[in-house]
Amino acid sequence: MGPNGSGKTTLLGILLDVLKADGGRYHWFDNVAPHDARKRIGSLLETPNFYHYLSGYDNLEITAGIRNTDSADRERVLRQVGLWERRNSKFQTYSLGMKQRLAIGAALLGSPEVLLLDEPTNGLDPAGIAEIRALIKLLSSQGITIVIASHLLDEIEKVCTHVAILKHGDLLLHGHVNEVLLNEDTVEVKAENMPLLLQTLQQMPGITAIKETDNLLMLSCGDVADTAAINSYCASRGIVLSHLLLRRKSLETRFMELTN
Amino acid sequence: MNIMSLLSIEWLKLKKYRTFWVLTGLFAVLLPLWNYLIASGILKMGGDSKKGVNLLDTAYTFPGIWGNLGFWAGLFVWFIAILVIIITTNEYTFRTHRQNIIDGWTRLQFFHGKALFVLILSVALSVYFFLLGAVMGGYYSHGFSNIMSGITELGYFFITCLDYLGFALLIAFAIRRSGLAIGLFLLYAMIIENIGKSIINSLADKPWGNLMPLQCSDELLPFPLMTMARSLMGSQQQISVNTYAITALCWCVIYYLLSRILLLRRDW
Repeated sequence: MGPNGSGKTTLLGILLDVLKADGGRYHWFDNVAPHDARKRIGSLLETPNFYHYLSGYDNLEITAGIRNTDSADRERVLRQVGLWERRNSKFQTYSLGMKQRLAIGAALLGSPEVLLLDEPTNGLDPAGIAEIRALIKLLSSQGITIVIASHLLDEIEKVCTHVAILKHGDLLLHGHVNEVLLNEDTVEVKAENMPLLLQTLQQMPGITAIKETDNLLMLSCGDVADTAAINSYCASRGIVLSHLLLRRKSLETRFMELTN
Repeated sequence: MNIMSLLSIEWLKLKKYRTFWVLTGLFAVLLPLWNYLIASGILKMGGDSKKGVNLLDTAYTFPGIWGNLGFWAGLFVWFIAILVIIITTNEYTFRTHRQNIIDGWTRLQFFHGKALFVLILSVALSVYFFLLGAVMGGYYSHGFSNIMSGITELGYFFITCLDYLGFALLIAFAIRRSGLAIGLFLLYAMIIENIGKSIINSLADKPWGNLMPLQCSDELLPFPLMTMARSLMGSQQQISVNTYAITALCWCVIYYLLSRILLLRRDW
């Protein structure tokens, strides 16, 4: 994960031997020869690259040939990405989303052990995005390692277990997604008598900070905020809350903090 | 990955490519038509349609047919060279050159796929050349008794194919863009090389300029009446045909090595 130009695609390009690194080393699967390793990795890099004059089905025959896997697997992957009905249409007639699906389908050919996906939901409509995310989760539950490069925080949060953040080609931070993108919850409250509410909540255990804004109190509650506890605490002291809202600190804010 | 597997994948890329079939189909149809019209005296050069001296050799019997057909076939190979450029630059246009690597080819395998394609295409063109020559020669000679005389021209034609197509492949790899590559190929073949050749020949004691990349194979399949004309006009001291053949093959090796170095060194 990283902002535009942070080096995500460049890194994947180096790992797939289409770019030469200025320095450093990498190895796949206990030092398998890189081109043999690539046959065991399903990849989607930048844009979907296919022969425009061939159908999706024929294009995948070439992919299967190069990856040295059975081209009979084409039906399974085309069904999986929802292109089976359009398999005989030429690639140049596909919409952007269909091209992206075909690229994902190609990556799935031969059931690779690792998937490298660069912006996998690029160009897809909301339904397509949801499908691909579901597919990614399904594959990961089957034990496939999936590496996704993305600047879509939402995507990372929804599908990833681990995250590494890049900026200007440097690794800023990496670790479990919950640790790196630690959620600090805040709770917004409002009542008729604001001074009394403030006074009361200042005494409530578990609240680490209170900020007053626009007729609201913003409560910082550490890791886990318990809105029910806040509600009953106030009620037991005769305060009726007219507004109670749990706000997760937006990933966006966190991301900006990290990369700026 | 073995040779057959590389070739079978190149074949998958081509077998449904219309441009490939149109250009090879036109080659296959126009070459016999062209030669048939010359043999019949309909297609002429010099003189008008009814009288005057025809500079084209109308002898299509064995063994003369091999050299005669060879000259024209060598000219038609230009269009196949352009086809090689289109097919190769397509990989860059579609960015499939990257995808092939991502899917598990080495850069060398990508290169060898194309180099083998050029080799097989040259063999196929030579086979076609032989069949066409045999049929036409057999027809005009009323028999095949003399078919093998002058058959060395078949070897010269194969070398010409390899020379032109190998050169086209190098240009395509170097330039990567279809239009520019075709433009530079034609510019070089028609103009630049002639300039170079003429300058060298005007300075040297022998026509060493004829050993330039494409010219040396042109010398293998000269204009049918050229040999006669040269002896009549007493032109420059000649270079032997074997020298031309060996030089052309050396150029093919150079194209191979240059393309290989280019592809392995450059960013992909």
